Amino acid sequence: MKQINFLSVRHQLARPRRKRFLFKQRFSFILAAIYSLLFLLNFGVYFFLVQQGKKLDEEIASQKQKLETVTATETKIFYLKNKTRNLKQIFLTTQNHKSLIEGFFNILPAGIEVNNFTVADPGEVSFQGTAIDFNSLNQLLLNLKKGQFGGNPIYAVEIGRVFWNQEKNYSFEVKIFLYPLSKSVETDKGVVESEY
Amino acid sequence: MLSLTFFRQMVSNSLILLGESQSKKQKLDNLTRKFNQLQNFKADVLEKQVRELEQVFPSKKPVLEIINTLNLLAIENQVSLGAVNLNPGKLEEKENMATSASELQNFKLSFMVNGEIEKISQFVKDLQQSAPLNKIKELGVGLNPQAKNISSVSLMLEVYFQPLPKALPSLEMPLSVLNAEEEETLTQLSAFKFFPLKTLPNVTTGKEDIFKREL
Repeated sequence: MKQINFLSVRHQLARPRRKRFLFKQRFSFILAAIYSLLFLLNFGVYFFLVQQGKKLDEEIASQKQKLETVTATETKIFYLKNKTRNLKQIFLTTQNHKSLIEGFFNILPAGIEVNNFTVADPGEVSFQGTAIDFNSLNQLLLNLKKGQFGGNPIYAVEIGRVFWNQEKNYSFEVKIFLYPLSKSVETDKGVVESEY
Repeated sequence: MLSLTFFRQMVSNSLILLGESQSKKQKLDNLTRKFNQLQNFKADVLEKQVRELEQVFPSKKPVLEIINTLNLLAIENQVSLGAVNLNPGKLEEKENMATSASELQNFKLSFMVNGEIEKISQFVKDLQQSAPLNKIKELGVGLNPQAKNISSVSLMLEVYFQPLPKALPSLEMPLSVLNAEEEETLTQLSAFKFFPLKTLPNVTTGKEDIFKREL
């Protein structure tokens, strides 16, 4: 007996279609599973991060409270830091200034009157004076000739406007130039390293 | 489609939260480090440094302090003071003044010192190493016609001070500690002579309130 199947051709045609359908179905299922997994993972991460954020906020608040207990120390450090910056600058300018003032008293012989002793930065000292006699003026010049002024080497001395006035006094103007700050200057005696 | 939009939004939120979390961790680390640093400071050492700095480089205009120092140094060095000319300006700066409070400020003071030149020289030397911080801006030496070794020296001082900062840094700001150079600067303060002001005893002034009773 011969079997007659009128659907065989149709079956043959439907088989790959069904295969494709099954593949698509399986693929969609896997995709949906991956998507759900990612979704859950993302949700988990999101939830974890929210919780971690809250925990960190609490820790920060507690740390801030702790810091409040040492604010006095911080204030003192801030005060010291704030003032020391300017203090350092003042010290830098006054340190050499002090030695120049002391140097001025060291070169000053008896019998000399001085006006307007000023230190012009950097390294220029000037004053006007009156000597009661020639010996006093001579002694001042000899002191200046020693080449040192307040521990700083003298680069040049300018004596100006010397005149003998009606009171038989010698009036003069002096300008002392010192070696500039941390600069080595070649002299006939060699290299002079200035502390100025 | 709606689900994808939701998913995408969630991912971006997670990323934002991750970023925030990182910055919060950083902030917490900074706060913890700052707390530990602050705990390591010795309170007595800091207190001493602040006291010395305030004596040498005060926060308020040191008008009385400089006059006190001049007087006591003059007594110590056996010289006499005269012709003190002081122009301190306003004793207290108001909050809304144009000058920035934390800037270096100064005022000038001129005076005469009479005595033997060696003693005046010592007085000047001591003055430069005394609190409050000052700098001699001008100097003049006058002779006494009667005695050759007696002189009068005129001085113009610049006295320095720096008002307190108006605002403190926030808690989150990292701690700015003193560096070695600044520490070195602070050690120089101990070399300064300081003459404390003598405070007058508390005396009742004006009319006495006879009805005032201690409760």
